Amino acid sequence: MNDTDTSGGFAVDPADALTVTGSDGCCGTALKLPAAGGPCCGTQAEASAESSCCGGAAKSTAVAAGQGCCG
Amino acid sequence: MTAGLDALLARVDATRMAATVVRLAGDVFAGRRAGSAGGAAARDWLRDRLTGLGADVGVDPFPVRAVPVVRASPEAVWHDGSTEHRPAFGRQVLPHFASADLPGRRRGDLGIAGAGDPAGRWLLVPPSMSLFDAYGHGGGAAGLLVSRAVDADGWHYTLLVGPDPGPLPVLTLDPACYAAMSVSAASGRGWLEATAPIRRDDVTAANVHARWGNAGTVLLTAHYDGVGDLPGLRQPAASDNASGVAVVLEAARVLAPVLPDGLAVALLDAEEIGALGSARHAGQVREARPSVVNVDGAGLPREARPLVVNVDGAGRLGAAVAVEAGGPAHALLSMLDQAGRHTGVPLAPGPMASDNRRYAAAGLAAVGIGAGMGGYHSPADTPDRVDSGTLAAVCRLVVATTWLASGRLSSLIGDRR
Repeated sequence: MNDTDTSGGFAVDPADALTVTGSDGCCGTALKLPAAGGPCCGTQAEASAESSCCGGAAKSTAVAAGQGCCG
Repeated sequence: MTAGLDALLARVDATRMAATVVRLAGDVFAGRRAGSAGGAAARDWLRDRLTGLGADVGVDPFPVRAVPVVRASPEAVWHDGSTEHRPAFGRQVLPHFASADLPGRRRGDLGIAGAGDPAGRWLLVPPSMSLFDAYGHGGGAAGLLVSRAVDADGWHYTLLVGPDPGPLPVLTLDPACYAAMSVSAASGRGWLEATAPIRRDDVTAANVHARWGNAGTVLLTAHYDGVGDLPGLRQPAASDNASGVAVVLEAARVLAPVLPDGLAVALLDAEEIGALGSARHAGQVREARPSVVNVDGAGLPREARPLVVNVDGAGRLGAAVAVEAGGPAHALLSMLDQAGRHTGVPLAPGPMASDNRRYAAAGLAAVGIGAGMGGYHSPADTPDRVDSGTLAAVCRLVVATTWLASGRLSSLIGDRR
């Protein structure tokens, strides 16, 4: 928590946060899933099978890992 | 150089945030689903909290259509040919949000969608088949049965966003129950008798807006709504997202008195129904942006304001805080990176499918940050799973980022990694 801390911030290029994989899919309805983007969690096939915007198992894993998945 | 910031960071109070989480997750606010009495009560409480922090506070209502509400525990009994089973509500069976309402019991043999005569049967939908395709195979069926993974605590998670209801009742089963029913369906000996009591409410949701001074450079956001309780099952929504609200309130408490140009906060409704509150607010912000290019003290064109920092999930920090950015956010990401280095909070790119996407889609620089949720969208999302250390870490990160973005320091570069 000070100027000498060595563990904080990004370990990669911060701009990578602008191109998060599969970041186009959620927070809308499943009917609006983009053809090229894919869901934010899991595969398009998993999301489609559950009529959801995300694959269920992948969604649980992502959330447990600290990522976000709305809806 | 950083003494002013360090003094602010020292003021961040994890105990205060933990108390906010407990309060928002309490029975009085009962799940905080958009349009519910609990949601309205939470909104009133948050408005008063912000007013108490010296903000100019407003509430912006908006309509939301067809919010799915499970209005009673489904009654489900199935038989495998030799033994009767009663799946547990919430753990083994839950009405699917796309289900048609089925208030009375309906009995039928078990079958497989796409195989054999569907008439009068409860059809298990193969994992490779979409629900829409299953409708095509389900003419005259009693209903559809879909498998969905449960969480580590064995709970189904509640979903409120998705397509409009289809023509058939649909029940979601845990994988073990689904597998057992599939065996019975294949043997031709199983049957199910069940209800699917679900309705859709047209409701009024509302965002809570607060501003201090001229609203500053940064807009801090978090959604306060939850997925709501189920009949007989509390779903406190502590990590998702009482924790994010607690962080934003605490950051505002620390920052607002010391930012000459002020600060803005939006506590958003209806995130769980497709980020509708932020969709509304992002459009309002876009329309209100100045058209004249100017440069403020932070070296940012005024047209770049506000920089949006959304917090969704500050319950349990693992290896790193997940960060997703959108819009023209390079400068904001640089500030966030510096803030992370200064506060010792590790950051990693990761999906944050939350309100930040609505602001980014509106052309604003936006980052979504999240640090874990326990019991996501289930009865297990309780306050005891929200880690005070995580609340403090995320709040310090937000305070330092806002401090930088507000031009109080030109840079924290010089921190040694």
